[in-house]
Amino acid sequence: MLEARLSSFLREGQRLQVSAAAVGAVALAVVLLLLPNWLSGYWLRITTSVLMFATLAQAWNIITGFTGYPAFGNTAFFGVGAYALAILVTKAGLGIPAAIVLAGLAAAAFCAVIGLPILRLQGHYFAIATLALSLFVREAAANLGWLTNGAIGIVLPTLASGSPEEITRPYYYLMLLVLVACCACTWWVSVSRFGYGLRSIKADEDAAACFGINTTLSKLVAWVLSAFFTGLAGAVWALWITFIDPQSAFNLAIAVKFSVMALLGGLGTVAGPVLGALLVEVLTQAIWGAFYAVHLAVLGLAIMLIVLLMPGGLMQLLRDRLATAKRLLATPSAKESWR
Amino acid sequence: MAAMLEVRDLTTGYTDVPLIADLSISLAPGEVVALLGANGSGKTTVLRAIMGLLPAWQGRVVFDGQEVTRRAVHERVKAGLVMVPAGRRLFFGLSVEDNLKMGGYLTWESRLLRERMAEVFALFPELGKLRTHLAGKLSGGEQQMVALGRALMARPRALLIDELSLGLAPVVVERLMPAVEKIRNLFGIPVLFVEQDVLRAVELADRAYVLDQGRIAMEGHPKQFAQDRRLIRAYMGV
Repeated sequence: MLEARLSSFLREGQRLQVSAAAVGAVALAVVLLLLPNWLSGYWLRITTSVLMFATLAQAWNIITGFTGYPAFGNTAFFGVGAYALAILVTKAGLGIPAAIVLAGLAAAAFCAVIGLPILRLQGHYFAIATLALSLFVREAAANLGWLTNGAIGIVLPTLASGSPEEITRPYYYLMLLVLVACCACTWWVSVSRFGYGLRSIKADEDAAACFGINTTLSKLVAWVLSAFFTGLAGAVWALWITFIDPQSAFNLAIAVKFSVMALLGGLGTVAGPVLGALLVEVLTQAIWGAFYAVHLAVLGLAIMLIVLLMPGGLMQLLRDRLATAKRLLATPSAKESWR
Repeated sequence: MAAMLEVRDLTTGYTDVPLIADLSISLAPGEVVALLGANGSGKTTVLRAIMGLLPAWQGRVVFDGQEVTRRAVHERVKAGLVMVPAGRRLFFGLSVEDNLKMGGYLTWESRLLRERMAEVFALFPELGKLRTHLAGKLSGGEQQMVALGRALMARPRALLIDELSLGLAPVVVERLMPAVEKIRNLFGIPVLFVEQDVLRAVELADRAYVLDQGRIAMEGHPKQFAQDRRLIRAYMGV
């Protein structure tokens, strides 16, 4: 039923693309599942970090890429997820899986409460309000000592012991699971009626309302989904680094990173934010190794160049190249040779 | 006959100065009504207020016997009150078909969408040939057809049209105007339309209101005041 409805909406070409994407996704899944067997502890940590940032960039993509609301303050939900997990594990003694899911739900619930008033703002005002929100939650975490241990922070138990590879492995798989769930959700957004609604809100909110879209509810659901996955990533991150404090859990530098990644990959696409996260993280490592003293300056320069040379992101670039290739294949005629 | 749409003593505006004040208009089933007036007389504001894009400060909007004054925009659309916005506001990056599909957002069922799309293409045969073209690449007249078609996709029970002729060549308007009549005749949908082009509006409408500085200056059968000096004065703002 669902499939029939779906496929009737996709034209032939799109259907082919979907099946190609499905094959690619399965191959990718196998590689990702086996990857920890081949990587050193160092590269496993970097890969886990790629997975985490890919999740954050993807979650941000739902509210910013699809809906057009620049929620830089998503770090608030990252921190709420991290703290919720730490509190649930150390104070309430909850099991890890339940604590992770509840931490994601806590971030989502927090977003549902503060979302309604903040989503009344648009553009820069919205962006700044979300930044203020993130700072506010950080101060709250620093001052609610009875719950959060204040500036002292919370120490968490480790999940595994042994070699560096063995220690990182469970976090790798947890992060992978969160990323896959987040990408699946984004894919659903990209093909569903709900996602079309979000995109029309991004294009023209008044016009969207005139089609009968409940814009207030759609925006809120989009942000709550974004907060849920951001919170899940924060929860797994807290487990992984085993010590959190307000400075590290509500770190705006994280927002700079995931937004650059999403922009670089391509907003409003499913694969873009993941590609962007991979590129930026690998680039960061390479530059860090090669230019130890000035690596931040070189990284900044690289990002500026990339944004200048491909403002539409990697996905746009790939799509353009693909379209050009198709055109060249379709018309090997006078026109092209004449040029 | 009970009115399909009844606006009673409506007052609203954007800041704290009312742009329209104590405005009352009505639209009967099957009727085509023109809302005329000079630039800045508040025509678009009236339509926005009826849709709920602008909250009413005072007064009531009653649609098909139901009070909708405090309802959200999407609820009014669900009830069957649909607007074609000024300047068309299409999604230029989407195809004609996808733009029409957005108009059917509330249904989103492929069979119904196909049925309704076929109706739109029957009304505007030109669009049928352009269905896979990007809306941004169409001419102004074709875009206006898409905007009208998109509104029809929602199965309106009353249609509000804001400046059909905006930015279009007179020849194009000449071809579009009959579509409004067809919409009424084929689908039996009453239409309230805002128009700058008085002479054309007068030909089309059963009844007309003239808006001046946010108030109804005149109301009546358009032909009877087509030559009226008061209308010319109100319209030209001299």
